[in-house]
Amino acid sequence: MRTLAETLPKEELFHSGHPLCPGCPGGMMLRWITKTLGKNSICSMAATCMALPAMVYPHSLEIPCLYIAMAPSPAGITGVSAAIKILKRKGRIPADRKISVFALAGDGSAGDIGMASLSGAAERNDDGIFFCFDNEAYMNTGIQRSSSTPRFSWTTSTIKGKPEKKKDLPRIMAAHDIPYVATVSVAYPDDFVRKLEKARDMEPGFKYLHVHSPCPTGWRFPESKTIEIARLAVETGLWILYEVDHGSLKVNFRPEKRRPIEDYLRPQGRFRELSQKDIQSIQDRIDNRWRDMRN
Amino acid sequence: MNKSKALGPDIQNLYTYSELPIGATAVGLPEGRETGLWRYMRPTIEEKIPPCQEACPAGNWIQRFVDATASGNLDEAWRALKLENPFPGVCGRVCYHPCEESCIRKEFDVSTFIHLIERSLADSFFNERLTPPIIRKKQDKKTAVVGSGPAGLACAYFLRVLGYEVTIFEARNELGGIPQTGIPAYRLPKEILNKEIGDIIALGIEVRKGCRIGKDMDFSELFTYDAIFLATGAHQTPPVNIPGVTNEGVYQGMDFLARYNMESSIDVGERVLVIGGGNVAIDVSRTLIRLGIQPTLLYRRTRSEMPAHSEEIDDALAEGARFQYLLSPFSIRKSEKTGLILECAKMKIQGVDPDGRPRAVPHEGKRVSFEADQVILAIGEVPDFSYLPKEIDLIKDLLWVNEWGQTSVEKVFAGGDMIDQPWNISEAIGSAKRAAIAMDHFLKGDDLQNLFRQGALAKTMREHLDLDLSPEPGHREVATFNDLNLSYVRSFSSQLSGKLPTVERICDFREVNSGLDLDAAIKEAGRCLSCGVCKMCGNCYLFCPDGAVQINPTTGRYAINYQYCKGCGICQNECPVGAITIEAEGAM
Repeated sequence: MRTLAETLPKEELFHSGHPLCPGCPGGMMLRWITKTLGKNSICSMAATCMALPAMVYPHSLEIPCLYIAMAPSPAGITGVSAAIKILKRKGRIPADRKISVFALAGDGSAGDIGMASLSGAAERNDDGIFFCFDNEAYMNTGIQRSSSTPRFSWTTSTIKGKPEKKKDLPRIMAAHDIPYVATVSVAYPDDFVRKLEKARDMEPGFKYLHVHSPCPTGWRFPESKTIEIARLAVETGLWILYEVDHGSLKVNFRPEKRRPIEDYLRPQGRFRELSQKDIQSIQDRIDNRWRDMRN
Repeated sequence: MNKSKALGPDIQNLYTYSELPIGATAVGLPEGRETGLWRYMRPTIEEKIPPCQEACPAGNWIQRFVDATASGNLDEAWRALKLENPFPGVCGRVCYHPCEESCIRKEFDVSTFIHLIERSLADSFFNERLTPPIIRKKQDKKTAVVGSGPAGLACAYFLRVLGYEVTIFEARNELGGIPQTGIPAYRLPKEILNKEIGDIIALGIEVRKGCRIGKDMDFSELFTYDAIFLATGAHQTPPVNIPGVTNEGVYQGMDFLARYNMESSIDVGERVLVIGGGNVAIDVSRTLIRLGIQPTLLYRRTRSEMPAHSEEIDDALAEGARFQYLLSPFSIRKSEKTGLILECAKMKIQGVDPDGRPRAVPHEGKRVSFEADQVILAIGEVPDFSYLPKEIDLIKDLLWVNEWGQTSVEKVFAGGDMIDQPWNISEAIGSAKRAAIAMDHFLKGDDLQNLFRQGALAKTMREHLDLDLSPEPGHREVATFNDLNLSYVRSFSSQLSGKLPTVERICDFREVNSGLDLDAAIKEAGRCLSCGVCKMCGNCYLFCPDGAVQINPTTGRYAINYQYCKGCGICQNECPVGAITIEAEGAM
């Protein structure tokens, strides 16, 4: 069997020399996305960490990219895909040419600031793939809480830990009844690329991929542990890899034996202050979630 | 003023682009931005030695052949196996696989069954002619090998691969040494052994059978050859301090096995005593069982001190051998009726011997005697040095050789059971390889002493012939459990190979242990963790946020581009085989 490293194109469209932090999961994510979608794709980039390598000179992202404000990256999908449709109708672009449109936004811009825009684009079922790069806080502006920040987590704006729970964005998107919703993790590149290929090759419509992306800078762990933390999130059952394909849900990875959530929380500085009771409450929540997922 | 001109030619041509524009604003790739300058930790792709290869006395290229098997590339696996070992079929059966003892997988679930993979490869290539992976161009030198046991044949094979003319001198009329005469067919079928011997001889090796040096030919005649390898093994009975050993009906274990294995019949009575606790004693007992006799084995210590391999002891017990421990024979005399009477002293364990084993001492005056038709003494053999000229030095009861197998006479090398090393097939092959490599240097006029001091004397053919891809063989560390990332390993163990049911196996000399079929072997090979050796899984390449790990087109292996590597260390952390090390930038 050939490995993913062999099957993915060798050409890099997201170039070395970008200013992302060492150990940033965004670097690998953008490499996989560009390798999978290829040169025939257009990006609508919200203000995120990813905008720095893509949109600040010199550019690492060697594909056309629309740098857009924080809220309207889904509207970028709407506009670009409409333009492609019109240009194809006018014959300026060959009708059989497949152009993938994708938007990339952080959890803050997708779930808080751009929620209306995202929901609107999903409701209109505009043609494109939306990536929510979920590093669980506003990292680019200095680690402020977002609606996607998990409960008890430290951020610069919740120094005693965030009291509120994390917003479950993929389930909100699944409720829009769009063709495809999937959760992915940077620790599982095979799963990531398979889901992305599925979204790419689907009929026109709005597809949503939610990327769990541990941020060494904001989560306070050594930069060499990015993948390890991402993997622990899946192995502890905190982050569930699933896809909702035209309404039918499938869990793609069920850990044989879920590891205790403490394994995931302990290495991260942002959870340093957690009491045993807090940890237990997170564990209970995970156990309940999996009980619901069993059927 | 033309408004569209002010916007620039790009905007004007936007709708006529055949390709999409690169970026929406200015165009410029960040090639000049050397993010490598941020780095304070430096990862290095630095392969390590798998512990199995370190443990293999024969120096097999285990990781390579197992990895090639797992990927279904059987020809490649066969070449890697044959490069280092002309006896995979034999070793896969009779070697006690120290490789599996050191297998890191053992700490995860069960060790990879390397010997079964080796055996399965040998079995699947049974009907094919051996072509050695490489034969160097003809060298204008003649070499002699004395003795055709595993050491002698292996040395002849390696010398032939290195391009030398080889002549083998064998005192008996058949080649093969102990595996031929001493290992019963239920452990090693003769056709497997003879096929592998035949393959070696077919490389163009001259064989002089029935030529005992010192009797049929004088040792001095050997000096007409440019280099000589001695591997005459240990076949001599040591002086036994038991009165009555010369009585009729008393056999030596090795002689007994040789007579049975060569003539396929031997006269024995109903009551047979076997004395000793080594593999020969077990082989004798299990041979007797197959002749319909239930032997009793007497050993001076207890089961846990028996030098025989534990699995063999279990098999012998299952087949019906009786064991009596803490008994030491002190006299054998003829019985007045028929047969022999063996008198034994009862022993007890007290203190420790200089070699670290518990010491057995006589239990004050307690004796026991047995009646027997035959007594078979399997208490070891010693080498015969009577044919050697006196210039060749001995040390204690063994032949003296230096670190690379050279004796005190410059052009004479030695290996196998004659020299001071454990007596088994893989040690024999290892010593033959070491000597063959040293002989190659010697025949080219290299200064061996100097090479050894520089650490430039290879221990394996792959290093000697420069076939190992890793840059600095010999300077690498051995991989440990902590080097690996086992997150990518799923626990599974395959069905172990079976044994013939006991009732069936005691009737004849059919092989007891069955191997794996090829599909099972390929699956089993997939369990190898490839400790310390990159198997191109691509984790470092996929997980590098900076795209700094890429395949080097000239070597086909992954390499780190330090111009851009920020030193995050994800590659090191996620390498499943531990082939990447990381240390502070600038540290020496």
